[in-house]
Amino acid sequence: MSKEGIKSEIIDLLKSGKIKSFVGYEKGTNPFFLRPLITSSVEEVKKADFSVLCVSNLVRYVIDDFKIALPRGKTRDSRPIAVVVKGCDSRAVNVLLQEHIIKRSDVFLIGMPCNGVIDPKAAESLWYERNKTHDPTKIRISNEGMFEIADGKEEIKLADFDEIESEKCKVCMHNNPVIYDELVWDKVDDKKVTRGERYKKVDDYEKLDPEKKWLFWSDEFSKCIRCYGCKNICPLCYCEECTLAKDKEKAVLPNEKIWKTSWIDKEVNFSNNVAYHMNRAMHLAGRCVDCGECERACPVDIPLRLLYTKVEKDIYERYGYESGMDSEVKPVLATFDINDKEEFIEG
Amino acid sequence: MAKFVEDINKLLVELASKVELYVPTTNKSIVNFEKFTGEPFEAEKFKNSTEPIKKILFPESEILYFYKKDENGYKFEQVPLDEKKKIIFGARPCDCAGVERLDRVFYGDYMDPYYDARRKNTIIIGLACNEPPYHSCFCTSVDLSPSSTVGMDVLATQLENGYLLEEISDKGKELLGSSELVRDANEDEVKKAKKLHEESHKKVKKIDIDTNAIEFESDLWGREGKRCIGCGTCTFLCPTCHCFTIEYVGSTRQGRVIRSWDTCQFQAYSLEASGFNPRPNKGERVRQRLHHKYRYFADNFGEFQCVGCGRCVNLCPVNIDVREVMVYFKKKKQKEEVIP
Amino acid sequence: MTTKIDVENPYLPVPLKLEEVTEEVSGPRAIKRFKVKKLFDYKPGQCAMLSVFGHGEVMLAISSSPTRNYLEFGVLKMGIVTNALHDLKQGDCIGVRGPFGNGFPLKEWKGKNILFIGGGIGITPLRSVIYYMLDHRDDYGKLDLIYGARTSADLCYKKDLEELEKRDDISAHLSIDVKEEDWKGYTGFVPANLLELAPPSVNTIAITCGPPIMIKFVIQDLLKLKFSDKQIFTTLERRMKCGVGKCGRCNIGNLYVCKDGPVFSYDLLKKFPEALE
Repeated sequence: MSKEGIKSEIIDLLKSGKIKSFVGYEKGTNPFFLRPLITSSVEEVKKADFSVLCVSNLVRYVIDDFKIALPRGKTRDSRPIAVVVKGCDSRAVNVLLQEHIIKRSDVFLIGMPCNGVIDPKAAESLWYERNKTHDPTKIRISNEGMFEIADGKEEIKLADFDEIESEKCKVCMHNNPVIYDELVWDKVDDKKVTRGERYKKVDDYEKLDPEKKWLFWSDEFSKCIRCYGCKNICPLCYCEECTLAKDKEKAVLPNEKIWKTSWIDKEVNFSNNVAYHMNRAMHLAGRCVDCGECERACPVDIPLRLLYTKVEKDIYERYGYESGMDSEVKPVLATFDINDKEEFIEG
Repeated sequence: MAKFVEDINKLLVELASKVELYVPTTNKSIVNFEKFTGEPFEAEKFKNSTEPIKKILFPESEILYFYKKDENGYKFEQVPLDEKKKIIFGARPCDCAGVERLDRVFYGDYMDPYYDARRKNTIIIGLACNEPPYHSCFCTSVDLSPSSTVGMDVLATQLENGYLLEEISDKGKELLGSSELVRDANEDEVKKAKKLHEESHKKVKKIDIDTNAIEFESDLWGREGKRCIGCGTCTFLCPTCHCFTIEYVGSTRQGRVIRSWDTCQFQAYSLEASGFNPRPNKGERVRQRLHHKYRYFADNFGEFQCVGCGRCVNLCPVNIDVREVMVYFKKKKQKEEVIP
Repeated sequence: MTTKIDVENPYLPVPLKLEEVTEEVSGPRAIKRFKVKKLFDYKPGQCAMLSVFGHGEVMLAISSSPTRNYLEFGVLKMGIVTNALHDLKQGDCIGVRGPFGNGFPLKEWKGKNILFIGGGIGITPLRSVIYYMLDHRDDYGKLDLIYGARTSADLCYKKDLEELEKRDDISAHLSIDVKEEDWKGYTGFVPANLLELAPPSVNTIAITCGPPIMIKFVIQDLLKLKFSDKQIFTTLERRMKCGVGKCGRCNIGNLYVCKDGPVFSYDLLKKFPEALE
């Protein structure tokens, strides 16, 4: 397949009514990434693009579709949504399938083999550092690097690709989608990142003594303003009522006792912030696929990936399990094996 | 009359010895206004802070009062008002204008005592942008500029040999008069600053915002809403957004009442106990945010509740861009005017 | 901008003992009346913020008339705070702050006929006006009350209604949604009852209060009955936290329901498509 080929296939599917909508990427006003495009119009599908700027994990929009408040008497359209998935994103689909949140027939997966996407924040700050103009329209980013278009033709290289590549991609072990219906282009060679390389940062962190660790996270968590960007962009945070956010202080049914669904208050203070992030990390154990969206969405740059990769490493070392690789196996924390390590239970 | 200071850091040290001084401080990859530690301020490295100075006057969470049960019922204890003298140095003109917008809300009809105590004890020294710091800046589109003085007590402009300090308010005049490090500026310095201001103003990309062109019933809201993830980044980091929630923390016997930032982008914000929600979907919530900023506030106070700092544009993880929305409606209106 | 209101701290409630708690309606949609000392002077239609310590605050319409010497609230058990409020007994302590909002423009209505249209718990603000008018009976023309609830057991202020039915200076027309054996009044929704009665619009002000869906249809029907936009008034409900137009959540257009409302004329409301959805 090719970019154009896949687009015409989506258009055909839309026209024939086999899918209800398409979730892909389009050019927005931020030159450093392509933004999500959610549409059921044929005209808009033509705007879709596939490149190293496809940073977002679009799987969360599949979940969103279940949450839309429909007008009275209207029922949800159950046809599949076509959604573009990279390696990491496709693993999120698997987790949702494992947890029976979506059915395979709810999605038509357009796999996008990927050699790494860019880090919009890093690219932007490099661009500010190295360019002379302040016109973001004069910029081109590809897998060769970042270029400034100087005078219509000539291009000046501002950065190599590995300078602006996302950290998550540098340690990615699954460059190709693990589940898909169609591929945008041919599969790519895996980068052959080893476990050791992947967990290098976590290893460094683990070497710190407990006080240093505490100081590190105290500093990071006290920055949090609890905008819930990390939770809301996460494809795996699908709960209707989050125990960590008063995001649906739901009216109680009259004959029921009062539910206080939230474990933490809205008050932004250090203890609530720690409770929020630690709980979230636990809830992502054995589930997080390291798409890195939480860290990208965080406006105050909390290194959330470090936290979740630490949990991922623990799960891997303990159970040899990698999340989202197979939709048929049971989620690791929902299973029990007689040989599971139990050394944390003290007598 | 304009004043001049050669070494800004000497002045900062002097100010910090008298009052609580807030300056832009780098913490790893982000910059925020923190208490001055003696670390010299480097204007060349400073673009704008991640969080606006709003946080100093209106913190993300604060205690309003404590309650305690006694034999006669309940007793309240209001938290002592924060009346510490503060100086904020280095706030960008957009953020200072944001404070003026907050004043409109917190002093309107009812006076908010918590905000008032901080506000009247704070002196704001703004710092003109000699170069628009981001491509997303659009202050000139909302009737401000990289050197506007709205909400400031003093406007500082960095020149080659020091800082020109313009007195904007009486508070600012008094402050500058009290330091021996400050001298009167000469004509040349004033001219240079003026030239910098004008040049910078021209560099900010201007878009046309037309209040009357913004439609309520439009497909655009549905489109933007589909993309929106419903987080609070755009509003929490907005210099003008002021919405909050009041919550009881504690038991029926004792506890505290907290005011925390809240945002119209959250579902529970407008959800009523009956289950009825006037704004059930994200499209309606995005519409509310932009309508409030560019229509409702303008109707009430004659100015936008937006200062063009571009944070919501820059930090939105899914690229919801107010400039794009405003341009869309303006263009649509122009088209409709041509073909009635 | 309206004039500045001089309150030292609008967020600080006054602790008050519940003088009387009466159950009006029992069952899942229970309604109770809570009576406290008259803390402030107010206008019918204004609201007050009640706090239940440890649970939170809730904005409620004052259901007693300012001509009486107490404050009373009719409360439907619905959310977190109202559930907690229902658990309180006489002698327990709550916090009260207010009054908030604009209230009904009663002085402008002197000499006019008044038509009250209420549904369910929506009777509370109307009750304040009704008793105010009955206490100033000569100032107003004909008074009519159209009121309905789901079942006869859900009718709020039953004793008051019975008393009103007996009086000859106000006529009450009651309805229930679902058919019941020994029900003498109208069976059907409130808007249908309104169309059936078809009160004349001449020199009349209609005030409607109830669930959003009822208000929507009542207004449509009033327009059919030749009421002009300026003759129709309603009270709106929104989630509120501060009560003083700062926390932002009750915002409709450039207005805040807590301080610019809750009473609005339809003439004003129709400009805001979001208000009556």
